[in-house]
Amino acid sequence: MRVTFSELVGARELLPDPSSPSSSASFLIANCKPTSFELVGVDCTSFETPYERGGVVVQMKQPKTLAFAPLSVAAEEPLDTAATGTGGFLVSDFSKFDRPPLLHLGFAALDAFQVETGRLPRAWDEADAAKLLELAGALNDAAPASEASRKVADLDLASADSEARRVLSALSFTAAAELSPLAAVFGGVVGQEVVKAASGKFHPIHQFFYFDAMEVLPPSRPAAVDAKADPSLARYESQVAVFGAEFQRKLARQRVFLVGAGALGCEFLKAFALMGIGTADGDPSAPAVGGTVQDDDHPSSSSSSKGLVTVTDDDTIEKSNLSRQFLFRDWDIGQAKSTAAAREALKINPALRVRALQNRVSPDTEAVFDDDFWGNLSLVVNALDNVTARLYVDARCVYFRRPLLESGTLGPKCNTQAVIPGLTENYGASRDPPERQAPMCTVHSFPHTIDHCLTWARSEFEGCLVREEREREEGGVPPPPDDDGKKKEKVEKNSPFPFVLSLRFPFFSTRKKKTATTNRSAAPPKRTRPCRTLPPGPPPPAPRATPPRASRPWPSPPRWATTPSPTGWAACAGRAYASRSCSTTAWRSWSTRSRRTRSPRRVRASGRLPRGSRRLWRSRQGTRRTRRSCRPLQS
Amino acid sequence: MKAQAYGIADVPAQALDLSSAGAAFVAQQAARVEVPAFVPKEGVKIETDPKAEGGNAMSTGDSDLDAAIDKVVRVASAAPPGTRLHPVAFEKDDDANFHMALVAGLANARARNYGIAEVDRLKAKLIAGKIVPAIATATAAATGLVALELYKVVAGDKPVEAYRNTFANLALPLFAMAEPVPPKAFKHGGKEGEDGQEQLTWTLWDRWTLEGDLTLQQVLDWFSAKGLDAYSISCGQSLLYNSVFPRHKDRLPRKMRELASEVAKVEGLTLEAGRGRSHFDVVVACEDEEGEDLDVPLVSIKFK
Repeated sequence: MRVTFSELVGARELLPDPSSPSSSASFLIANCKPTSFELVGVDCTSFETPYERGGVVVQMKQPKTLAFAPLSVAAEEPLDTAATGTGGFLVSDFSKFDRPPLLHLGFAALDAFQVETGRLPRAWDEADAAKLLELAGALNDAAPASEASRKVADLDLASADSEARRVLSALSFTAAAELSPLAAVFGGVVGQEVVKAASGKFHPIHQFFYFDAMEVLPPSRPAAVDAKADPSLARYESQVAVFGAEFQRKLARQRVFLVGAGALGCEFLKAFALMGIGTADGDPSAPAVGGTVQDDDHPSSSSSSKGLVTVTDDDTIEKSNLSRQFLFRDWDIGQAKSTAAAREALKINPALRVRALQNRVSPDTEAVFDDDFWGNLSLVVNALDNVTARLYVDARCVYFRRPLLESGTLGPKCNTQAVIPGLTENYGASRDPPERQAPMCTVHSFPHTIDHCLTWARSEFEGCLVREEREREEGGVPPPPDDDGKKKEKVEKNSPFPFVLSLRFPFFSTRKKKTATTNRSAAPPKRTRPCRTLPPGPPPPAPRATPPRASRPWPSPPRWATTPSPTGWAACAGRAYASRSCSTTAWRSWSTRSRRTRSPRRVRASGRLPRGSRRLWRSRQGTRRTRRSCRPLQS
Repeated sequence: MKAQAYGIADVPAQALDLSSAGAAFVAQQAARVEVPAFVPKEGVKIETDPKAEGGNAMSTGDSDLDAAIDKVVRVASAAPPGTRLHPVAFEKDDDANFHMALVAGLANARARNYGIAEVDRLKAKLIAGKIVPAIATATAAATGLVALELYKVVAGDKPVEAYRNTFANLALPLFAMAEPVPPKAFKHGGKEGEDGQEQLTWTLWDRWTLEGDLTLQQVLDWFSAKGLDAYSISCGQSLLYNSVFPRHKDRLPRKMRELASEVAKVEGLTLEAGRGRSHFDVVVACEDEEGEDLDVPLVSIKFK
């Protein structure tokens, strides 16, 4: 592997030339062991100054050239062989390992169907499905005989219980419909591919990616799949075509608690509005009238047929949110996230019944989110950014036996977890190792990375300009006006451990409670020097400046633009196809971070892996070793 | 920034100049400051225990408190009347406030001292500002996958095999979908080949419902009949019974319903038909025969 050196004492020959900082002096190393490695082709005895000590070795990303075949070739010979050198199919679900070639054939058959009939197969239509199966059979027989051929061996479309028949029939039954969740998945995946092609960062999908979610389908044809009979279902035509009218009404009656209105929260509110969740207003005869639900809408038995989406977030909109929290605009900065998101979601679907709250979900707000509130929920969706709150919501969901859908993202990574009462373990049952912070003594006296220096610099900032002044101010002069009092309260609210962990499982033994009770924010700050204190946790975030609402520098919001939706999405399956459409040089800078290579390692000259890289390595090992270890991320 | 904190208004305009001229002015002023030669302090104890947290060094005894009050009074009386201090709130995104410049400068100066490679302002901002990378693509994929699970939840009749947990890394790209893990099953008693006790199995989703207007003793008996020693019972935040408290023995013949309403202040626990609640939940901590703690389900007492 090739590496670069820095922070060496002695052996200046190994360091980049300081006169031209862009020049990278990279060296080949071999025989890497925990405490040593060999420099290949370098005569260390000829150094002007011999190596003394210290140093950081960084593994360089190596360029990698990928071969792509044009669609006309890859469609017939998609498999990865020595001859083609393409990546073949990217498998997403190893319990459906054989699925991609089958879907490849299915989509080819769908294309053939469209060419022949000028339309897609009708929803749950047996005759159309039979036709698709026939076309698929013929296409499979006509597949080339080569090693990389798309031919599905032993394709059994005749017997009623065969997997191939089941999958291809499902494809036909749902091909005419679009589901917004599937469009969102592919929007995200293909969007990332676009970013890859434009930036030359990350590894592209190496030719084909098929994804299906056929588990969502009802076991048999739903009773009413034509939305035309009921005008109120017209906008959900596609969804009704897949799941039937009764399921659509069930979606409308859902009482969903969405915890958080940030990046995930915006996406979820959009999804709920598009899917028609929480749109039922209890009167099946009248047209659905949605809107913001202000009153405390606890349904009694009489109004339990009303749907409702309750969204809560105690945060306000900041400029840096606008890159992905797409329900917000420039002129919303400073407003409460939940209110703004609910307002925009109503523009997507005016029938949505949504209640926006600004309460943090925590033991402090159990008067707001009381037993009645939880008891009347049908489903909880987390859109949170911290583990503490996730654990709390999880504990409440376990207590009230409510399904919880959990998700998180970190950079290009994401994870989802379904917590279903009686069926699955809960979120808190498996825990990530806590985020490790550098020990105090390292930051204070033995820094060895720039992170330590920055942590120290931040604490100096706090010590010099925030804490000292605040302490003096509080003692020396009468308390300042309200706004400062509010600031203080905000800081306390934002302390990193606002909840006592013992409240996770209310039915655990009291003995455990005692040992689990840790409230780190309560620890008094360490005093190292007079008036210089290191914060016990991360420094408190800055209070947000709320711009005055009267003088908005922004233009008034534009009208919600309606864009035609893309057509041709099969409801429960989709495909992405990557083709080489940019220059070779762009590919060259792609990282080597394939599944076989580890992330770039920073190896100290002493041979020990720094903390971060070890953790990343371990967690990635974990995802490969056990299929079930889809661990949540902190984001 | 110090001037800002102390409310000093007459800061020279050149010092606030963001251009190189401003930097030159500040450097020129700073060069005039005489820095005393570094003399190592005597008797400094350097903490070398990596486990040491922030809080251990300071005690909160009365003498410390008195000293602190003395200091506050002293500082306050020395300050001119009307002095008001303005804490500076760290704001990473405003270059004109010099906050990031200070933090990056301090960090790089320290890095230079310790022979650590220095970083530019942007990288410093990423680390010091704790900016978490986030891309709309991953968010869209995650929520799309969750919404697909939502269909399954609403359908209501899906087996665990129909659900999927996903870990994805769009950069690699990697998709790892798997069925959720079933809940941990707890088992107690009724070992194979033994007759008598039935085997108890439960998961965290289970509830044990006890019917009848039971006394505390009856509840304890219910547990001991199953080979479990219930040593502590609590309701909400209140402890109804714990075997270590001798006085709790007096409560044994009392009804659970009365204890819950008196000790835990649970309202609406009336026997009158058609009014109030019909059940309440208690948390029971218990041990098996070997004295091992067991996590038993929440116990619901249905008293009418």
